[in-house]
Amino acid sequence: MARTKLMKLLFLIDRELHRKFGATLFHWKMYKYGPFSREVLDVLDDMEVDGFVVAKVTDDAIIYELASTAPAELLPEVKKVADHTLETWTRRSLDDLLTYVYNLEEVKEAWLGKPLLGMVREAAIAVGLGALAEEVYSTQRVNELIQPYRRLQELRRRILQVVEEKAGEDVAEIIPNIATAIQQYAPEIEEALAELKRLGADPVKASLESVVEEYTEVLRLDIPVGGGKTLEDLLYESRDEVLDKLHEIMIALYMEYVEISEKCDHGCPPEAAQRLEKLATLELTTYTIYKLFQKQKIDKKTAVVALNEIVDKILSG
Amino acid sequence: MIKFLDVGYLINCRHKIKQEDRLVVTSCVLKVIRHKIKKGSHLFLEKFEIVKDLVKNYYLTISGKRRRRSPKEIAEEMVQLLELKGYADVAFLFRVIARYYIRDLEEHTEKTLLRPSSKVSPINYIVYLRNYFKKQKNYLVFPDKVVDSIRKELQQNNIEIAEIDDRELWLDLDSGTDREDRYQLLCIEKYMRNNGIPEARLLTTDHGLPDTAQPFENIKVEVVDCQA
Repeated sequence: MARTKLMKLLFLIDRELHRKFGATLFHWKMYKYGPFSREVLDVLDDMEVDGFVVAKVTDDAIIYELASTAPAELLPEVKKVADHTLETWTRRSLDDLLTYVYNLEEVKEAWLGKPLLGMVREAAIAVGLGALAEEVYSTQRVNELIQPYRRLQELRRRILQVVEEKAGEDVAEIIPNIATAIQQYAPEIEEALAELKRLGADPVKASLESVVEEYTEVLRLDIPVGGGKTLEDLLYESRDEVLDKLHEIMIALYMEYVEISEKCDHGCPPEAAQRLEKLATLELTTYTIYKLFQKQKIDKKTAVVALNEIVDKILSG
Repeated sequence: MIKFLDVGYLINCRHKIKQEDRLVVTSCVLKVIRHKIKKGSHLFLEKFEIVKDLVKNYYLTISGKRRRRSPKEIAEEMVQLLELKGYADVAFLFRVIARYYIRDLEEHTEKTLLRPSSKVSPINYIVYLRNYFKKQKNYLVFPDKVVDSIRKELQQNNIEIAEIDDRELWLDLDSGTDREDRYQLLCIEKYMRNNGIPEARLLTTDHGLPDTAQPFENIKVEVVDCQA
């Protein structure tokens, strides 16, 4: 397969993964010839060195051929998306593919060097991290007195409202809706993030530090929940499965955030940021499911099953 | 005289193990522990909702911060609770967690759950532990982590680990409640035969073991009652 075609197909696969799961395999930027990822070329180079692919240079293209010994271990979700994209595009011409990619909204509007898909990453982290603790248990961000953080909270609430309004009974649609809503508010989020950067903060690292403190606070379980009771009293007394699932999710999130924070001493590496983006999306999803359940738009069984899946997703690494 | 330790003694009498005699643990004992931990952790995940309800009910009557304990104390209380309710396999898992330092689990607990305080609410601990096992399918490697930690401790205490080629021993055992006991006895017998040892003692906490060991005339079973 020609390198250009491979690059664009991988972009489409990542675009779909991002839409469905809020995560991508590679980082993408807008270049002269459309979406491009340096990491794709690095992986191909490594595969060539290891003998998994053979690169052939023709007059007008670099063609990659798969060696028979190539490893093919993909997560089932990734494989499904990849298979679907390949089925759609493999037999169609490069021109068709390029026309399609160049006409995508986010590609048409992007300027040279603008991060694609990943742009949402920082925004998702900024609005999503701590959403559950803050929105359900009213914990406060360490930095909430700083104006851009307050602005981010406001934007989060708007995003959650948009997602909630859009949501039907199919909870599987919540994650794609969150990605779309974040995209919709991306310019305003970027503005708040730019302001934070001007103040000398690393938004991703600051959000992570803040969320670890927030979950430390919530998991002390002494938050008042009304009637003179604490969250701890409620957890022992009640037989509310949804409350139990929220508790499980919070502990799972806390475990992950603490682990990731160890890798973010001097700024978060891309794989840590990617993981945080996924967790941020899951936090927003959890809150939306909780609200839909509270408003009786989904029943308890649906909520519990969906929240259970979220615990598994958080802990799957 | 050479003294062998069985699974029960190794786990229940950890605090009593003294280096007066030549103490030996066969690799078969470690294999049984691995097998029991695997079973215990799977059942813990499978029956989690029941275990959680047991925890809720047990600590419900204790109010507020008086519930809080160290993870080891909670694990020890869980053993009693689970045994009382008939969940012996899950109780075994908690007994090992309560009494041994399982390095990966302890380090993880220290930097996450115990970050804010050395004492935690049991409901947090039980959910934390469930999440720890589920995290990246940790339950698959946990039995090996347990055995590695126990091996290390035995080595530090100069307790000999006798590596036994048990291939035919485990498979030849027919099923039955004393299957694991007979397997351990066969391993000891094989070791004694291979090393020309005429007689040995086996320390156990199991009052039923002397009966099982009757056919093994050169192994004298000594039952020790040392529940902590």
